[in-house]
Amino acid sequence: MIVNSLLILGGMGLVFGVALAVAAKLLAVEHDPKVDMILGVLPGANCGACGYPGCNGLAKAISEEKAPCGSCLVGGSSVAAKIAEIMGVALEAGDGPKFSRLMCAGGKGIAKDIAEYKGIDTCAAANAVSGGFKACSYGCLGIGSCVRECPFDAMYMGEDGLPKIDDSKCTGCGKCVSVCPRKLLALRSAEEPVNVVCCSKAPIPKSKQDCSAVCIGCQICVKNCPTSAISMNGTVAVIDNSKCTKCGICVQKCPVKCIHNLFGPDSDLRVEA
Amino acid sequence: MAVRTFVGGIHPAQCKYACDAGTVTAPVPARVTVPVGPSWVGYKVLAPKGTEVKVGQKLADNEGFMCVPTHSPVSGKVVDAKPYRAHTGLEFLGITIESDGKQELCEGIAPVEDLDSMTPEEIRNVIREAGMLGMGGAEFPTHVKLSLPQGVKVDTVVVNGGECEPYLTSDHRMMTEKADKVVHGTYIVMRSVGVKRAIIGVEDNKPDAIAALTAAAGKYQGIEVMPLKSSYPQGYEKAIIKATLGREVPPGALPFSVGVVVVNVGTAAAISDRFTTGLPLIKRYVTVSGEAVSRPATVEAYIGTYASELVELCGGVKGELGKAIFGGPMMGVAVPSLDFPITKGTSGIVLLGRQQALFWKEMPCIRCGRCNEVCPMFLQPSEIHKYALAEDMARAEKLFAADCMECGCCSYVCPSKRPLVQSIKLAKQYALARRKK
Repeated sequence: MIVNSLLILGGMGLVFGVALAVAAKLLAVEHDPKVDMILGVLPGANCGACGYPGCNGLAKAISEEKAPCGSCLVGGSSVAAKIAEIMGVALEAGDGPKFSRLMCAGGKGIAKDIAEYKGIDTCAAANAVSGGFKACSYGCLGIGSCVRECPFDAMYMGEDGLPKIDDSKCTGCGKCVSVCPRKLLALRSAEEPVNVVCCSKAPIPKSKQDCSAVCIGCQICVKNCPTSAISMNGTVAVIDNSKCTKCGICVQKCPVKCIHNLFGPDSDLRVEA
Repeated sequence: MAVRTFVGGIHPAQCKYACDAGTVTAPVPARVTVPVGPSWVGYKVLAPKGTEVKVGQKLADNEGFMCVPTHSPVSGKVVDAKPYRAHTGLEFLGITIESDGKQELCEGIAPVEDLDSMTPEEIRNVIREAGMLGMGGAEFPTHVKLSLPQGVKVDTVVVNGGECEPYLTSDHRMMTEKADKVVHGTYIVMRSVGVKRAIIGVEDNKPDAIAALTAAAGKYQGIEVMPLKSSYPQGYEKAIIKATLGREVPPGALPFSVGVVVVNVGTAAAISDRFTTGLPLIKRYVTVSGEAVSRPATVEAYIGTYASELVELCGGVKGELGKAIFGGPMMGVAVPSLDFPITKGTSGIVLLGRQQALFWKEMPCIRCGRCNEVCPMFLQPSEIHKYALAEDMARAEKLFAADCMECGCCSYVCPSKRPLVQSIKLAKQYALARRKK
């Protein structure tokens, strides 16, 4: 009795074992070992800031050469270097780490409101109601969709009604940039600190009434820039960062103070007489 | 027989205070800013800064099919022609004219004598040249509405005298006082699309308008005045087609797909004006009403007059102003100040008192489904709202968010005071932007 059962069960085990072993060989799924290696290097936060569904998705995309080695925004350059080593490619020379910066200085008391907004609590919704409640149709609405969108808790609303960025947490993922309905956030590296902090396209006499920090198009900065890095884009000055020497003259000369050092106090800039 | 109506809708308090006050004719304003458009991109300004203009002179034009010219409502001098932020918050090209008070007519303004010998195409051209836009509020170019695509046949013209928005009485006054013009305009529209039958649909809360129109319509063959149930949004194009003819316009389609052309009574009267007096569209009826207006009335005003002047004409602001709205309270646009000129589509200026403009606290959805019941487009506002708030616009679009006509019935009935229309508008904008791509 016992021998029979042992034989039947043992025999069945043997048959299934052999069948499974054969199937594992015949139907094996090819797996790129690089995926596991890259996954080991990635931070494993599964934040999705790279645009892929978690680190696994990105590792797969990198191994298939669908994404560049520097795609992980959280990991930064050290992770990028390790991934490049795994992939056996040279890391492309890029800028330093980028941080989100607000290109509007029209906070509370500086830019006027023309109406009171009550409704859905997102910037996109407020912007869609009669072109927004601010007198300036281009300035920051200060509702804070960007703050809520930030996956790294790197943004908060300042007391002046404008979003602030905590550089120790900002990874430059760009989610805030894409959520802003007025396109007021931009990614900047510490190499390009001097910026005109105004995006108004309104005609000047009107914009001047609406906001005291608006670029009035006086062109004093354009005339005073020693390296001709500043030009006019419509009514607003723009700085070409490849030419900027961070001398700080424009910051000092701007009559409405809308040119700022976005990385540290304005006094940090080397001012030449 | 039961009074005809559409399916869904609501019955807001009518508040038609300006109903019996008659019509006030506004004096010639000292300054007007005439908006160019519907969309001013590509418009050629024919009267730049400094030009002397006369009444009815063309100020700007664009050869595009969807465009109509703009005319000067006053005689005087053009002092400015530049973009301004209109009451909708969007930038518009505005031509500001300082009036000299003489109101001299431009040369070439003459009535059309031989209407009966004109071809439909010639009639449409006269309508376009007169700058006709839908005067119910949508500002859709009338000649475009009347130009049917090849192979499409229509059998009926529906003239929209619904005026279902609370407070507004401009169409009501128009139908009562100028019934002959409305009917004559209807006849011209019938000629321009070559149909033999027209229905003027009027809500049954306007018995005097129905009586006046019925008397006037007796002179023409095939024009019928039909009383409709007073219900909001009876004056919506697709609702009034359903009410008058029982036909349903498919989602995303235009009325001609069911053989109908719809024009507003104000537009019909303005068309008649063009044919009998030669004047293009430079005046319209505007209701100035609301709890915060001293003497609510309907004003016959020049296009481009500033709203503040019209409110002054009606005795100014009474008590505490809660909210100022261009258009009716259901679909109109709240404005930050009265310093905006009226456009061809401004049917009313409503000033709500503090008590009428309360902000309610938003509560969670209790899934009562009332919004779904009242939607005249048979959408599911509750569901679209949910997805739109979660920024899942693709799913909101699948629920036909783009077919919402923003009548506001859902927000009106919502016991939790949720911002249904606002969220659906966002989903609609997304859907329309995606379609354009």
